Formats: sequence, C-alpha cells, structure tokens
Amino acid sequence: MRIKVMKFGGTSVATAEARMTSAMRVVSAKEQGFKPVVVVSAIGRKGQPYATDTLINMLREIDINVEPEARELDLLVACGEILSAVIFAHTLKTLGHASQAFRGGQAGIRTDGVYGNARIVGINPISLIRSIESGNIPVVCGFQGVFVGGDGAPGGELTTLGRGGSDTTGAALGAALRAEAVEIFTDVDGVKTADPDAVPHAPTLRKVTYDEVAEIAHLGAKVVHPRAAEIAMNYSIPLWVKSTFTEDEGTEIVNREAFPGRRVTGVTHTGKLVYLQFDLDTVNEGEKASLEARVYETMARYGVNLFMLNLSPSSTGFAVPRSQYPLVQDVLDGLVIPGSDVDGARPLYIFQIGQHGSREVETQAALLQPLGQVRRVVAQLTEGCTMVSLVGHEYMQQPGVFLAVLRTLADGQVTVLQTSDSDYSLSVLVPEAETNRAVRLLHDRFGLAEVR
Amino acid sequence: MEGRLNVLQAVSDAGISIDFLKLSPSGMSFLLPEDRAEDVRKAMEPCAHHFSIRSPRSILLVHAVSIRDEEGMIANIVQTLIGTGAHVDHLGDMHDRMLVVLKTDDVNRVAEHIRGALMTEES
Repeated sequence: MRIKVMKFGGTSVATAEARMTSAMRVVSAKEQGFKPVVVVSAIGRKGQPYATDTLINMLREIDINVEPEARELDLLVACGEILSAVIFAHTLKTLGHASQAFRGGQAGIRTDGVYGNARIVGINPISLIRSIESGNIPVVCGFQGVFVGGDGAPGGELTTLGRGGSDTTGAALGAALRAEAVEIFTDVDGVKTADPDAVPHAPTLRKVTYDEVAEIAHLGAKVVHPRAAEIAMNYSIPLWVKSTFTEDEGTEIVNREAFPGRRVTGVTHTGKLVYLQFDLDTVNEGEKASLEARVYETMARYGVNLFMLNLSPSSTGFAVPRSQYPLVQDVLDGLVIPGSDVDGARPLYIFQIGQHGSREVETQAALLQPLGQVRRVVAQLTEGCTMVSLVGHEYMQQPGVFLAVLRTLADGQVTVLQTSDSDYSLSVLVPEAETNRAVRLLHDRFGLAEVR
Repeated sequence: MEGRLNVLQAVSDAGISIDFLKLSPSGMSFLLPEDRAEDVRKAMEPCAHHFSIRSPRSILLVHAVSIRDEEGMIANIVQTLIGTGAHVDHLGDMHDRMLVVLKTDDVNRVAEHIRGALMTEES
C-alpha cells in the first residue's frame, strides 16, 4: 500500500476555499495511486474564531486570576482540530471521496500523561489501516493523542502534544504507517534562505538535510517543527514542505548521506530576547560556583529558556525570551543569598538587574545592612535583542567564517553584543532594530540569493 | 571590535579554524585545535595584544532531543555542570545537544556526574 501522509496547517484549512484547495491536493494524490492519510491543524491562526489561542482565551476571559487545569485545557483546545478534521472529511465527501475523521486517540496515537506537552509513546494505526482498506481517506486530528494510565481507565485521557504538534503527528503517523512520504502543507513555498520579511526575494531551498532544518527551526524559522524532522530522520521517511496555494515543488528534507549539503544554508533570526550578564567580581572566589548554580537552578525551576550562554571566571550571562523576562526579573531582582562565614564576616549577596537598583532591591539592601556586609551582584541588562544565525554544514568550521560574519556586520554598522556557535550554526546577538539589516548583510555576503 | 577583528584576521590568515568564540568587555576567547596552538601564538605576535593559551581542553557532548524546546532544560544542565565543581570554559548548544568545553582532566568525572544526575531509564 503506497501511503502518503499529508498534513495541512492552519491557513490551509482556514476558509472554505482553502479547504477545497487542500482537498483537491489530497484527491490528486489519490489519483496518482497513493492512499492518502490527512492530518489537520485547527482552523485558522491566532485571533480567528476556532484557532487554539481563541479557544484558550474563552477560558481565561472568565477570570484571568484562575488558571485553567491543564487537563481541561487539553480537552478544550483539541476541539479546534476535531472541528477541522470533521469539516475536512466532509469536504472530501462532497468531492465524491469517502472519508472518515479520527481523533488522535482513535487513530491509535498513545502518549505519556503530560497534559499540554505530551510525547508520543506508541502508535497502533489499525483503525486507520481498516479505514483505508474500506476505501476511505482518513482525516486525523493533529496535535493530540490519548494517555492510558496504569489503572486502565476506559477511553483514556485526551492529551495534546505541545507546540508544532500537528507536524509531529504527521511525521509519527508516517513512521507508523511506513508511508512513502510525509508532506507538510503550509502557506509558504518551502524552507527559504531567510525570512522574506527581511529578504523579500529569498529563494526556496530544494533540498535540506534533517539536521539543517532542525537547526533552522530551532533558531527561528519554524516552517516545520524540529520534532517532526527528527522523527522523519530516525525512520528515514522522505519529508516535504510545500505550499498549499502554489505549484512550487517545495523543499525536500533528506538524510545527510543523500545530500552532501552546501556551504551555507540560510540566515535565520529568533524573536525578541533580553540579555543579562551577571558580574561576579563582588563574589568571594569560593562562592562563585554556588551562586551561579543558584541562578541556573532558579531558571530551570521556572522553566526559562536560555540562549547565548556565556560563562567566564568573572561573569555569567545568557539571553531569555522577552516574554519570560518579567518572570526572570521577578525571581532574580532582589534575590538574597547568604555567603559563607570567612574570618567572622558573612557577606549577603543581593542580585540586582540593571545598573540602578529597583525599589525592591534598595529596600532589601537597607533592611539587610545591619545583618552583615551587603554585596550586590549586578546584571548588565540589554533589552531588545535578537539572535541572528548563519546555518550551514561543515562550512562553519572553516577558517575565517567568524571573521567574515563579524567583519560584514561591523562594516554594515551592526552592533554585535555576543556570539555563539555549533557544528551547524554561528549566531550573533544584535539589537532588535538592526535585525533585518544584519540578516540582509549576511544573506548577501554568503551569496544566499544564488543558493537552491 | 576592530582590535578583535584584527586578531581574527591573523588567525584566519594562518588557516586556523576556531570554535566557541565569546566576546567579553575587554577581549574575546575561542577554541582551536591543540596542534595549532603554536601557529596561533606566531600569528598573534604582530597583533601586540595580550593573550594566553590554555590546554588541554576537551568538548563534552550532552545529547538531548529538542533541547531548546524543553523549558528550563538548558538551565538544568548548566546547573548540574556547575555543581560538579569543574571549571567550564565555554558552552554551546544545537537542536539536539549541548557542547561543553572543559579541562580534559575533568571530562570523565563530569560525564559520569551528568549521567547520574540527568539521565533516567526512559532517556
């Protein structure tokens, strides 16, 4: 059986016209001899009536002070995909093709019990196979599964897979059904060399490796979710990213062996970041490690995502998403950690974010003054930053790449606040206002307009 | 930045590949293959900047799928690393792993500690 999994994102199912266009692609695949299995996201994007965010807001609007239960949230947001799957299946029926809609659990997707960010632990696609054998086109709700606990409660608990979940559903079903291909349909032609908002004529890449696309996705360009790319990579399933709305052939995501790669793949940028650099010079030498550990333990406990990590004997620094900065400020600004007793003196370390202490820090410091020597651990704060990354293969290890990046940006009057690199990428932290200029400069410098 | 660029130019002209470049208020640091240390020393001489070379160093890889997507995971790994008492020179991350530059003498001990602290049967 030649199975092809076709996943349609929110914009591909947002309107009756878009759904018809998407459905015609499914019919076309069937006419080519494939047995299509469709995966759909919720209808529309943020702000639209049945989008996931809209559904969540329906609960939050009742009383923003009462946090909804994760279990109930999963039940609620799953409605978006259920609605989408039923409507899509019916659209196929109106075109003369038998179709059945499936919830994630009905499609055999089993997950762990982490509501809101569940992981797939196994798939038994027997219902889908029976549906196909009966002549149907199965339409599966993306982003969801079912958790069956140890007590074997009937029906199990509905769970959702977290961000990018529908892509993951598509790739995981592709693996379980041994599909010939998984196609991710979206509103762009494929994986591009840069965000078209920064580089309007950025070309679409015809092939990228799983590692490249995972790195690109993690560094900002979320055309396909990295978890989906990783599943496809592990099961060697050809994965495509295509536009629902154009005839562009799209981007094929392949194993590294199948495509040796190019020098540079693209330039990506993340969203808004805040950079913090803690000066540890005021800290006794023997206490630096424990204070640093306390900072990172606090960040871990509150689930803060860190970027551009920088450790040195005299300081420690990292960037955090701006959306998480208020939380970081709340837990670190004014944090007091008692030092160890040295020769009868016991310092009290108080963390201060920014060169000028907040009212909370000043109050704390005044209250602590009689208790011992108060030493401030000041974090230099840089708000409004973005991480711009050059992604590629082994080229990143070539002599002179760092120089070329920094020289290009310096000549273009772009301020570089920090750098980081890995086997596949080289990133610079720049002021947010200079983001698009930095992307364009690097795109030009590395000849990405000519890359295919 | 111009002084740093001059240093990178000298290193690049010597055909030496570098990793883990980190900027600091008064300079920068980077990693290079140990067998190129003497070449770097020679290349740097005309730059007239103060520098030091520390060795031996090794890179420890901590593998974790979607490491950047799991909230707090990177912070958790860094906390664990610091808890080993080892001096961490540099850190880097990719979509599926974290890269840690350490004194070679510390690598095995740190790796064992991380295995014990962070790896579950499931992982």
